[in-house]
Amino acid sequence: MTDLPALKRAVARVRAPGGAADAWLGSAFYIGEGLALTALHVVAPRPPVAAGLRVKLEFLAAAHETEATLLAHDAVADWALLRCERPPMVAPLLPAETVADGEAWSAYGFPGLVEQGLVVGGQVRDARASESAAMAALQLFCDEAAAGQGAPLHGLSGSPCVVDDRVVGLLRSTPQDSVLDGQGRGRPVTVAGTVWACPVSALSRAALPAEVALLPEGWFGPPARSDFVVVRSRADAQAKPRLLSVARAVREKLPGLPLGEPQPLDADAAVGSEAALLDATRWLCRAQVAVFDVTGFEPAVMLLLGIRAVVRRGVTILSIGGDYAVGDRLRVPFNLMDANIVSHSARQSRLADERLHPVAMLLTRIVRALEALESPHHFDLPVYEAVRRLPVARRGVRPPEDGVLVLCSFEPDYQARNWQALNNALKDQWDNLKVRSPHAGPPTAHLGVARSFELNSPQLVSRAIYEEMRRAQSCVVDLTGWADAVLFELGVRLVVSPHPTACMIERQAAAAETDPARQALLRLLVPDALRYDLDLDVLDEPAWRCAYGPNAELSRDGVAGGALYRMVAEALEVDTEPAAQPVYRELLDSAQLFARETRGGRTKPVGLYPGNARLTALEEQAEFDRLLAAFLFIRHRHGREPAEPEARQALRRTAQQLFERHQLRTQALAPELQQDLEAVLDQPEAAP
Amino acid sequence: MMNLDPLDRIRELKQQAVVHRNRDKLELALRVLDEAGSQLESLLADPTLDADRRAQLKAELADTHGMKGGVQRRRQRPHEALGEYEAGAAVEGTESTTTYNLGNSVLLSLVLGRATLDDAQTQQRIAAMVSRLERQVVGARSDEWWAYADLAQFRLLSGDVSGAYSAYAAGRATGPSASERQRPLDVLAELAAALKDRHPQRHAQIVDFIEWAKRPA
Repeated sequence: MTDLPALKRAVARVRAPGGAADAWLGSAFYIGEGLALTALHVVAPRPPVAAGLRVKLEFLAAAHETEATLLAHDAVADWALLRCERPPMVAPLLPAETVADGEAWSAYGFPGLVEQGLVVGGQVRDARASESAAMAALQLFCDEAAAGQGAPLHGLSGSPCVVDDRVVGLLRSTPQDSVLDGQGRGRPVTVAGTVWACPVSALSRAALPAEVALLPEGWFGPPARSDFVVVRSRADAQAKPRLLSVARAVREKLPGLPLGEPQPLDADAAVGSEAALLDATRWLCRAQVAVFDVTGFEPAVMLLLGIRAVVRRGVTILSIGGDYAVGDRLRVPFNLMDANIVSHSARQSRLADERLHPVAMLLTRIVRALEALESPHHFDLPVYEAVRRLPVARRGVRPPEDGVLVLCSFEPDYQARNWQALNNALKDQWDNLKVRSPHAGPPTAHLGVARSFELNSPQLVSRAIYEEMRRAQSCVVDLTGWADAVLFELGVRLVVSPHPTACMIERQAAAAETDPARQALLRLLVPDALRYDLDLDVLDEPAWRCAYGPNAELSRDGVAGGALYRMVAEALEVDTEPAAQPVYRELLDSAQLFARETRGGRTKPVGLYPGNARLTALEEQAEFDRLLAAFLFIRHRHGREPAEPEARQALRRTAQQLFERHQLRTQALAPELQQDLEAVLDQPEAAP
Repeated sequence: MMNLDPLDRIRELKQQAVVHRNRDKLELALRVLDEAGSQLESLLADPTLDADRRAQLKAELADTHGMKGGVQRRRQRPHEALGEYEAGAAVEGTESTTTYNLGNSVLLSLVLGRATLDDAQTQQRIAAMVSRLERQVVGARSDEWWAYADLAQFRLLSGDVSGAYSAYAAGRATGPSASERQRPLDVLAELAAALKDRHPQRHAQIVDFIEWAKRPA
């Protein structure tokens, strides 16, 4: 299914600057990073193509106009790349990787016949056709062009041809003939409903000028995503300096680091469509370093941050721009209370202490975090461990008859206006469920209708709520009020549970919403059936029954239906998951907790209470036991000369530490074990 | 790959030296420490070093001398050991945060009979050590066993017996390992033997102190 509202918002009418209001040249569409695509013949009907050619783009569905300059073009393939002077705030269209014969396509553009735009569609007849000898093409059958006498499609040139929300090509031309109308005048008609399109794959061979440094993902060649992502907020668009430029300055100062160039991920664009969100999530799984602009804790940013908190134990840094400087009073969502937030504001860069300047702070944070990642116990966001480290007894799913987890605002306005109704409605549904299928467990084990602070758990609130997000089959998220913590939690929920999530909102609030990102989130997550009306009696409002209860009707497709969870299961960087860590690394890491290291003749205490001699002795023994266990494990699993460099280095280092710090204990080991240790140490050291 | 600080490699060499030393491969330990020392000296020859980096390298070099001193003592080469401690003390300077070389050079000079407690210069060095350590244990070294152990030793030598006991007791609260607790007592026993004839009263005080220190806290 094509998301038509999203498609329409991304398509513009192309007009010559200063051209007549009723004369437009064709269509174009937004692809991100301030760039739009159209057919070359739309902007330059005849060669030569003027350098710096300018046109006007009218994004009617987004109520936005901008001038645009021609950046690059291909006269054979017939495409043109335009830079928008003022990019529209719309979700960019994404390219498809493949297209197959027989697939249903649709397009939206501005044919001369219909000033306000027209959706056309049909079938891909031949995905590997040739319009001429040198011109690869998609041969499409268009229902509208085939109807009647064959409607002329002039003006649709440059429109995006989409299959399942992904662009497969740009509409280019139609074979035409002419028929005489009733007054004997010639009228152009499309022959046999055939339309030619420039395939997206033709763009991948493009030679682009150097000023097109930042290309939207997937267009113009295979994705080359960096493992260093900068998640941009809307606030960042006006910020000076922008977080991306700070990140780039940081990257330049780290030439030896195995890390790619920082690349932007526009949070608002990422929630523009299901495809965009899936794509962004895939990237968040892969990125080793992610820097989030959390200025204003914008909804799309918080959603992506919640996702990131689950999917990857990497380096995740939160930064605030605007007028914030580190140390200022700041209202932080409760889920992020423990997060260490930096600043990239202009004020921060004017502080007297240069170590606190944005580039210096981010640089230090990234270097230290990459080092800290060596430890399996390092986390810079909550959630990751809480959703993974569940005791055996608490791993099972909580069925609907056990209750429903509710994620909602705790603001007084919401509590006064919405919570009572929501609570009553969900309790009614829970009662209905219990009657139909009573829960076998004791009443104390019920989840009930529970918000985060109402979970009957002996754990810390934050741990308990993330655990329930994973376990609760039924989860209602009320977006009314747009609490930032709720957006973060929603992000978590969408990637920890395969079960549908009922995203709701008060109908009046949704109707009054004007913020483009919130509107996009509503389109993506909240179907009409889940928008509730508080003026209706609880029993009359169907949204509650649809969200939870014996007759709940939640889609198992789409972002809220488990699509993100299923995608993450595939895209996950498995090598960073706890199960992928060699057991000796955990042993060595925990030995390090008790290590009494001497540096430059100075030895610092190990534990919290070094004056307790018994505890000190236990700590010494604890380090020795873990080192020895690690040595024995590596020795038996990998042999005396492990093939894997990491294991080989760890084996040698562990033997060294045993002799270095535990000479007496090591000398008291069984002779054959001592010989083993000695043999490892006597082997020549491998080159680093 | 990340750029490796040359100091990291030098620290690795020093750790290897400790392993060799603890495996009684004393010659090998010395060779490795020589290599570490020569790398440090070549780094220090760079005139463009900033003050922080220079101080960092000098601290490592002083420590390397101290380690060589320790290995030489295990080789029963006390004079060579003294030479290393003195070289290390010269590198440490008077503002160093460690007193390992200076302390050992004073103690070993006494053990070897190159100095006596009656010398004005020795008394001056001891007083300077006590004064420096007393400043350190209320600051950056307040959680460091070796600072307290050294302070206890030098207070004993200066005749401040009750001060020695209190320093040692405070040092115990920093959680030294059993072997770390034992090492100063071995040094004191050596010192007591050297002072037995010329300073019987000080000898007796040190022996009593060792007996007390051996008891569990």
